[in-house]
Amino acid sequence: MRLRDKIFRVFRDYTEPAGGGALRAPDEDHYAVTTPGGDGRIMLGGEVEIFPLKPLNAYASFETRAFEARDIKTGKPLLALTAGRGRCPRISAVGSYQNVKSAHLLKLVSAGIVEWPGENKQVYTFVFDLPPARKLLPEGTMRTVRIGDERIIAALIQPAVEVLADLQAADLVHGALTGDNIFIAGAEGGEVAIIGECLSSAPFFRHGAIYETIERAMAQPGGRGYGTAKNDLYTLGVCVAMVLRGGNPLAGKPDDEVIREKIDKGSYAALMGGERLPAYLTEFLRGVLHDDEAARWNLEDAQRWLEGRRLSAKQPHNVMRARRPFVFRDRKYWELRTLAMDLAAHPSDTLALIEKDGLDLWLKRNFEDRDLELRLETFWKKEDGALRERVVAELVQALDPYAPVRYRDLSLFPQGFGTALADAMARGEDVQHYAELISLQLFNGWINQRYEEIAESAGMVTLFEKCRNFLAQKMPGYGIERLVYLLNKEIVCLSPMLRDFYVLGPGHLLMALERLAQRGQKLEPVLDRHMIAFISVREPKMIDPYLGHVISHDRGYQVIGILRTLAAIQRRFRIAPVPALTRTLSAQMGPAVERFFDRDLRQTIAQRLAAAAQGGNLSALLELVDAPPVVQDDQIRFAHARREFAFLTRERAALEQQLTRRATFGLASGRQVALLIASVMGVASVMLTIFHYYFWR
Amino acid sequence: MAPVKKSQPKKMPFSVRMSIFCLMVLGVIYFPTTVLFCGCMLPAFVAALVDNKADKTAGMTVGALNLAGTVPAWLELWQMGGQIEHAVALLLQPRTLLLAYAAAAFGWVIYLQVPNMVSGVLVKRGQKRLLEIEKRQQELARKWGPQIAADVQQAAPRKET
Repeated sequence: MRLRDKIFRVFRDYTEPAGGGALRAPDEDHYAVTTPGGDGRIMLGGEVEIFPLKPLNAYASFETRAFEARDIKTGKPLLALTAGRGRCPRISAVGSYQNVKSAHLLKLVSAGIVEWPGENKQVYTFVFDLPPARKLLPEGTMRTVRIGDERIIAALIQPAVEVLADLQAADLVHGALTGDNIFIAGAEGGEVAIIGECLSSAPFFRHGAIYETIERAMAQPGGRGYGTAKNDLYTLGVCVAMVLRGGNPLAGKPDDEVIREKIDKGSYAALMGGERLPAYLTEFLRGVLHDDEAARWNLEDAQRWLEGRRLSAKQPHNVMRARRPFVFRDRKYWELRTLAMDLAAHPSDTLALIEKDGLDLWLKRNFEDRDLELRLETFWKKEDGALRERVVAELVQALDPYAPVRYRDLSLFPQGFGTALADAMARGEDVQHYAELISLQLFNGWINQRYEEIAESAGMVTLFEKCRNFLAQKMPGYGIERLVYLLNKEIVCLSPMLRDFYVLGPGHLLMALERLAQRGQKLEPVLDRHMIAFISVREPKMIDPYLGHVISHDRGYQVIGILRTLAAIQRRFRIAPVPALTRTLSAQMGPAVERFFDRDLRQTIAQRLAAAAQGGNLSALLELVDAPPVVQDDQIRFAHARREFAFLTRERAALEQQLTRRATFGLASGRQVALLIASVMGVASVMLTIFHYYFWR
Repeated sequence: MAPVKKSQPKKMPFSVRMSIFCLMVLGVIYFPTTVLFCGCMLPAFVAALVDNKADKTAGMTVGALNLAGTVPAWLELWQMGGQIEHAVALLLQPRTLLLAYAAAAFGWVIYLQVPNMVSGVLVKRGQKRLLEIEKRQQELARKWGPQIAADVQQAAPRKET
């Protein structure tokens, strides 16, 4: 049996139908996608039924949609929320959230990917207990639920602090403590808060400026970063202030006005105004709403206060104010934060201002702060020749080092860069400015100015340097796409080809490709930049060894690289056969087959490809074109054949040259033959003569 | 320009010179045999002289059969006693020269005809081989594609320069 046939005999085993060596079905815990049954019902996890035709709009918010659901065993009504892709739902926190057993936190019943009927789209769905109908601050209203001063601790503060403490124990922050996400259970006089869910979006993504500290309010929603329990407490403080005021005192004002008011008066004064409160509530609010991050209460402080222990009084945060105002765009500024905010918002005017030196003089005359002087000194050194947008970004950073980095239309903290980038990409926005921000190393300046204060500052610098290096490499698998997946551990694959799928891992990606192939969609390319970066970050071993092939300009190598990657994924995650995908890939494998020199072998492989494609096993497909013994054997035989051809060509040339001299061709050999014949005849004759003379005579 | 060295004439090897010397000595010792051979082997000497081919086989081809035709006379000379007058007497016999020269003539026939016959056979064989080569190369090109001729095509331009 020839080597080729021995190898192909192995391939037949892979093309047997299921039961004869085929791969088993995937593990449901990881990759389960719930599809509607034949009757249109959606059963999530076998325990919950979702009713896609029964929306609960009262509970829908912030790009989540809400629907009725039901516990199949008990009949209890539930709430199903479907999350938007770009808002980075906290899928990895599902397990930890479920382990938080607090009576005041909305309980998560089930979660998973659901194929939504009628839309042909996969969405991530969370199912919670149905919360009470009353919200602390319903949308569209400016009035909160009435809770008296004497009841507010028991009704709101204590339950919320308990929930936050339980979440902290599970290493989570809430990040969604807004008035429309706190539900009130119980009758009047016996109200108790139920804290709503926090899984359907990244932490603090859904907050308006009123719910955030001054610095964090300046950042775009996705750019605030993960946050801490202090940020949750601040938000709680805002909710408490609203309840005590009977509503949102800053309702109707745009975000920058809210921020200005907080800067001018301080958060407590901006929210409470001149309202007189019991001392204990004032103490609580002043503590959690303190504008100085270091002085602001943490959870331990809040718990001690709940226990009745007195804490040291927090002095209001003093903002540096100038003796004389600075005029910019017909507005007077007495302090730096609001000036920095407006400088960032008007870069052209800012640049003109820098050239006039007026700002520098005003700063020197009105602020005696060594840190400010050092920051400005550094800025002025770097200012010459720098990009104009960079100049503005660094100036405002020098003026207000605690504010987010503001570059062009972006305003974000380093910790929030990943989420903001993912959100922008999911929405299809231009992300060029995000890339520039990294390339210009603007986060380094922000981190260096607060190096001692930030716990993970060294790690952040290293991470952004890594991002810069990845950005500099333009090939697929790197670039801005890699950054999205590097900085967001639970974002779906944002490939435009996969917009209808909720791809959380390479196994999902493979199944999504199979579905696309089943729909008849042209997979060209099979793996785009997003998919390559996604796989490379999530499971580097699946693609990094083959990346050179995957990104090769040679179509044959490219197909082989893609096949190697997908086959590795199928093996690693034990994905069921993908026949539609193998059929699609086999149609593209012409260039890979063309790599073989032996045309007879090509024909054989093409025939076997057609058969193997029906089986859905990517490894079988790969073995046909990439089995090292077959490839080597083909190359060796080709080399032999080439040598033989060259040798025959030389022989032919020599013969043709000889035959052109036909008249003399072979005469020399003929003369040799004549000599031989004559010699033999002569010797024979001599011997006969001698014999005759001596024996016969 | 460097002076051209004149190629020095090849010196005859010692063994050859020794052999010629020994032959000359034998020729003198057996003078009658020498006379007989000189007379009978004349066609061989002539063939060697007139041979203008590079391989110089005419003398040996004719000489082999010429020698065969001379050997009867040589044996008869020995039988007679091997004297010079016997050698002359044999030379004067028409039968002796006829046999020797007829054998030499046959040698010429072989020398002139056999090369043509061989050449014809070789030409036919060469043509057949060309056909075989063409058929094999076509088969190789069909199986391996045009890139199999890459080495040859790369070499061809070099040859022309």
